[in-house]
Amino acid sequence: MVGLKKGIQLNNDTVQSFIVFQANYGPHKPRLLLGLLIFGLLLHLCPHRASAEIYGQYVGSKTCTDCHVEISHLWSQTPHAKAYGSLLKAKQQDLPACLQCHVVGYGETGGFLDQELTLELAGVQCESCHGPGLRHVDAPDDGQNIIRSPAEKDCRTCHTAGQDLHFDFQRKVALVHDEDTVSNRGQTVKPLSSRVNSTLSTDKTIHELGRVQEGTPAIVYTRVMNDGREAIRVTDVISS
Amino acid sequence: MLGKHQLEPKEDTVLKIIYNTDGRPGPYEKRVYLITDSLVQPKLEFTLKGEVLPAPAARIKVEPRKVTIGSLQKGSQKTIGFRVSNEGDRPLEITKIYSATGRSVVIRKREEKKRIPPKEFTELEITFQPATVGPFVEVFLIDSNARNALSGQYAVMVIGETEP
Repeated sequence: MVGLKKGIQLNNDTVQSFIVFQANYGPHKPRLLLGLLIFGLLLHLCPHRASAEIYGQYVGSKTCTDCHVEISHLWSQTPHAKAYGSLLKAKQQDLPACLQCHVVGYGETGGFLDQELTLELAGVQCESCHGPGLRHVDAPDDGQNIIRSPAEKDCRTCHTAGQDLHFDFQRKVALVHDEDTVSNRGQTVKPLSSRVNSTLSTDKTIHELGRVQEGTPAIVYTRVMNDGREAIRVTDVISS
Repeated sequence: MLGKHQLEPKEDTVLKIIYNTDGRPGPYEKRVYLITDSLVQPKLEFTLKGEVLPAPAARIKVEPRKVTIGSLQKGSQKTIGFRVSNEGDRPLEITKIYSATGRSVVIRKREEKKRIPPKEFTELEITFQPATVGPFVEVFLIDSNARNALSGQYAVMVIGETEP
């Protein structure tokens, strides 16, 4: 380290860059020199951890935005970014089983605690798929420090058959932060209700069960009929 | 389907769906899918809607949740007091207090094990010693039977800096 003035220090690499700059452009460009110093300072500041509330391996999406501006903006418009809001709307923000898939790092050291302490980790953020970002922030050029391309199995931890019966990894992965696909979302996602010519019928598909006390099971009995000409076998039962 | 997994033509049966409400207070909207081997109808969907009324339980409230203590000298200890209230309608039982990050050594936890009746409160103290130099965000977890303690733990945050 080389001391320049009181309170300011540059490392040797920075000083070497400064000398090369002087040799190429001569002594008459103090504004350029100032610009270089500011640029260097910005590079030093970016990336950084966004807030004091970040206390572990997770850094939060605001930190990612410091460097990945465009892709973070696109992500911010997706349902992933609003995933915690959907929990609040459903009043399920206190249910651990729900939180696991609606916040970053729930149950892990440095992950989401609750909305009062760690709101910056609410929602399905970059680190939900790409893994904890602290090591990537500290050494962004090392590809080992971040999951660059999350695999289908990673998505499947939340997009289970019960939660997302029609989950199609190849189609959905393009929606995570792709501008064209985001703007054409309605045209690229097939609607869920694509059933045709049903042969198994029921007397009622929507059951309003009213209020029950916690701990008391809510039970539905419903009739199911085979309207077709062939036997139908139920191979699986999936619930959200 | 009450033990039945195949329906012959024109046959019917009764499907029983059970939603386990334990630990799931609040409104819900759940979907159940019967997956079949039919080519024209691979699934049949049911929706269950309702509200689960919360069972009587203890509810913890800690004040303050977040404490900024400024600078500490390396090796020194800090004691922070918290007011712990039970806002529920069952006794609150605190069983353990510890550092979530392991970066601080908890020296003393006065009256760690506490039983707080409904609508009452107590004072809790945590004395700790940061193990690292520099800015820190320490999270202490309070284990209890409180309904609102996610996964049984309620967190308080201490923000500060350890000077060499």
